[in-house]
Amino acid sequence: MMTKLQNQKPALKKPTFHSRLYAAVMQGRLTGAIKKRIKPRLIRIGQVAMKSPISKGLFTWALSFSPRLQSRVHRVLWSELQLSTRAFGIFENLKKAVEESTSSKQHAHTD
Amino acid sequence: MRILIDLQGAQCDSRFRGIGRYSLSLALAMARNAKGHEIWLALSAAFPQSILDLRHAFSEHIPQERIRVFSIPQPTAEVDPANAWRARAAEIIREEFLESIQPDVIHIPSLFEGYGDDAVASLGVCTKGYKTAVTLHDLIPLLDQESYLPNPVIRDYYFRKIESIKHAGLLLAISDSSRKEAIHALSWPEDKIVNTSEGSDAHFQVLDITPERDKSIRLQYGMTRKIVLYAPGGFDSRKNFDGLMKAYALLPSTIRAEYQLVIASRLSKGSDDSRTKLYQWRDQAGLKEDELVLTDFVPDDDLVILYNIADLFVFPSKHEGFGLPPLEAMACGAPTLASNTSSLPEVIGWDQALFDPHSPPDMARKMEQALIDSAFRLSLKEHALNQVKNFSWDSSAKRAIAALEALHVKNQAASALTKNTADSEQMQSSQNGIHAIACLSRTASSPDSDLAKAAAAIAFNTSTKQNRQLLVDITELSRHDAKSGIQRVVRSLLLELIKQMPIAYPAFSLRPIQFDDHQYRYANRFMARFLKKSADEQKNSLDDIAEINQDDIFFGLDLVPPLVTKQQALYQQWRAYGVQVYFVVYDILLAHRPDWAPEEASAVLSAWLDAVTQVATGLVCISNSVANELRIWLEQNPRNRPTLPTISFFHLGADLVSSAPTKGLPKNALTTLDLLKKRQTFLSVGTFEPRKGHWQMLKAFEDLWAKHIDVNLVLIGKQGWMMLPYAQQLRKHPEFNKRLIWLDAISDEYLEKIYSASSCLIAASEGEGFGLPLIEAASHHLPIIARDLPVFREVAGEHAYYFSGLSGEDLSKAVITWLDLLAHDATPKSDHMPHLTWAQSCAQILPLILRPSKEKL
Repeated sequence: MMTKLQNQKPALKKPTFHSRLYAAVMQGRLTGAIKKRIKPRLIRIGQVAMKSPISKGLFTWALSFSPRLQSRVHRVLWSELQLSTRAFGIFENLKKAVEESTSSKQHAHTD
Repeated sequence: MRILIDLQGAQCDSRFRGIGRYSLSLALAMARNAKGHEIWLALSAAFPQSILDLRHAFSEHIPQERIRVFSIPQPTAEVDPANAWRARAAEIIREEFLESIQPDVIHIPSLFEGYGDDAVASLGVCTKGYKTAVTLHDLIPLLDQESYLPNPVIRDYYFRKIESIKHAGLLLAISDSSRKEAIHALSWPEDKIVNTSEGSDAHFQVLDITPERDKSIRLQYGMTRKIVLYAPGGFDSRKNFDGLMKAYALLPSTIRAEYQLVIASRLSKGSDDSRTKLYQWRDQAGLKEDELVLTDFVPDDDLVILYNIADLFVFPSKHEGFGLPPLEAMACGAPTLASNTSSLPEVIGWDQALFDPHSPPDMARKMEQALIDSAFRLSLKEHALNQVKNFSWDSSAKRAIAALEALHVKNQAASALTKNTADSEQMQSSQNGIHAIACLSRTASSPDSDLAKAAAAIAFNTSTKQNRQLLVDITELSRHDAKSGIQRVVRSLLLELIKQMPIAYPAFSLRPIQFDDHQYRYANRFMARFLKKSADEQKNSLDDIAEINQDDIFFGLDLVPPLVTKQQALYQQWRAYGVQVYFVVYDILLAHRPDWAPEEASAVLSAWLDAVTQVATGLVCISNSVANELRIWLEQNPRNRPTLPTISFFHLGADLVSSAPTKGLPKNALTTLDLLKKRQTFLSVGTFEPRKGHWQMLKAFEDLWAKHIDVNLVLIGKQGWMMLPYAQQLRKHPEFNKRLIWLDAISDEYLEKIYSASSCLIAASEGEGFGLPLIEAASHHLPIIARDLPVFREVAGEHAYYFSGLSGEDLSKAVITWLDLLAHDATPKSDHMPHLTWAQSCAQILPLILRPSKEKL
């Protein structure tokens, strides 16, 4: 037990998703033509995301080119909202339901 | 019948008032008198500290798993209109949670909560309320709206509650008076309301107060004369303080010189400063400063004494739902006078003990009679002790259960008639809840942060026993594998848990977790590496936030003292939610011998030991010896622990193959191994530390070499703390790399070969948690010389040769004797020393942490 204590090291500061995403873009690790199209957008989105973690619309557009990256973006979003995977699923359902509810109310007004 | 009680009344601000006392006492009595019915409790996660207290209070009556905790999006206090959306969403979330427990009946002991705090109580918002019974304490605000509902916010809040009540299948009134109020003011059907009355807790009783205790309590609360006591549960106008003071001022000055009026109640502060108001009334009534004593909050134990020493207890409240304080005072034998209004005549039960609270002269007359006329005072006392026999929480509970039984029968009959099961009438899927919450957003804005809070609450509330997790903390291993003994244990047990859990405990999912970025996360990335998954899988693994559910089990397998110490509050919160928290205790050596490590390390481990003994459900030690030491330590260090953790032990495994062994041999391995085989080689395995006996071993072998006994001493281990001088001495020793060999940081593969090439293991350590090298030696048929420690006896039994003493000579003599025995083939053999594989070790642990919860808090 004491031996273990001697060997413990402080935790390394883990790179955030944004920094990894930024690094991936800058190091050209995204593939093919998609890279050229979404690179500037991704950089911008990365910056937006850091300021406003749930500005999801921009992410969705740009990251629709890469499902894997999209999944990562979602994960970072729920991480920033302090939600577990399951809670984030519920959050998305709630958001969708709110949007539908609001839009049906607007339609009702229009009618 | 499954009875679910929403016990927020005993959690929120009301817990300091009569309503809190009612909620807790009645629920406890219902649990005691359940007679085959299942009592379940619903508690709000918004009040985490109270949850542990309540779990403790019910530990003898209700299995812990029937105490369910629900989460809501906070804050919800309705006093702030900005909380409106969250409060409405919380009502939906709570109702759905209650329904998910599938109760036959629900009891809400206190519906009028959540104005000033985050309690949430409703019925009929998204589920039907016919199976719900609500306790009606009183309708005072409805009957006196001018005083009690002064602004639109509180008015809206109150009338929403009144509307909510109308969905109830049954009302439980706390007195006949409040029952009649409901029938008249709410036009409530008489057959849907039952008077269950109240009782006083057993600790309100006549005590034999010693003169010393009497003196000290008077001193403590500033009482210098005999006392006339008033102990209301609040400071609203109906409590009639001004009337009481006017009446008190009318008493003859001789009486007032002999007595003090004592008001024993928590004083409100801020804009509603009750102390200032009370002093104003005192001055207006013409009382002198020393004629009035304000105690502020009095804990129950002191209140019982005050009731016991009071010469007279008065209760001039103009309107009560029941009036618990006079009942409690009477239970303590206090001569008691009270108002002749609302429920108080029922409680007091004697006209002679009543006065008109609207008439100070009448109150004064009655008080004077009680203080002057000793026969009357004696009659009041005798009557009090007789009258309290008519009230008890057990009787109230029995009446409540009978009423709930009738409600259930009625509901069953109704559902049979309509051919609808009760459940089918409920809108209870989480989808409906989500829809209901979404509809709220039409009328009030719901920012994403609120939706996220609602989602987190729903996720927490909808976790089920079907997805119980065994959360194994491997924080340190995932950060850095220092290849120490403990990390070998963590690696080995982790591998075995992965193999055994799905077969032995299919109801649980094994989820290794690590603390990172201020929270626990699933250690997916580490596990992908650890299990040598494909490069793609490793790359794609992300460490999601760990979802902690109330039926989960946390297992602190890794040793991370600073983290555990810092996160005590988190583990306490998990315990409150119902998570069982276990830690492995590898040893508590530094608790006994802080000199074996630098001061800071001792302090760190001491803080860790304090933390785990405070927060753990159970501590699993790696040997019986450690378990015994821990029990003794707990006795010697009682601290202020709410509960004691269970203490159990297992033994470590010893098969290297199952411990994900490290590989690799140095270039000079063969030369070294040849050197070992040349003569008898004594092996020591373990990091250099003051406790490990390295100095003694060196001196012993210097003694042996001086006596021309040709033996090797092989030391395997890194240089640990406080051992720099030792390492320096080794390196400049004339026998270094000849007969004295030090191998620092070798692989498990190399260690295997060293064991095979050696003649005997020396275990000279003065303190160990287990002594894994002994077992490893035995698995290589290597004889053992061990210090005579309880833990070595536990591990090696008769299969080792034992020595005592701390000098080099003590050990060298032991080695010589052992060599003599070897010459006659009489050394104890380790071949048959019992030891476990890691699979067996893991099989020992699992029942210790996954056993059905019989936790006694």
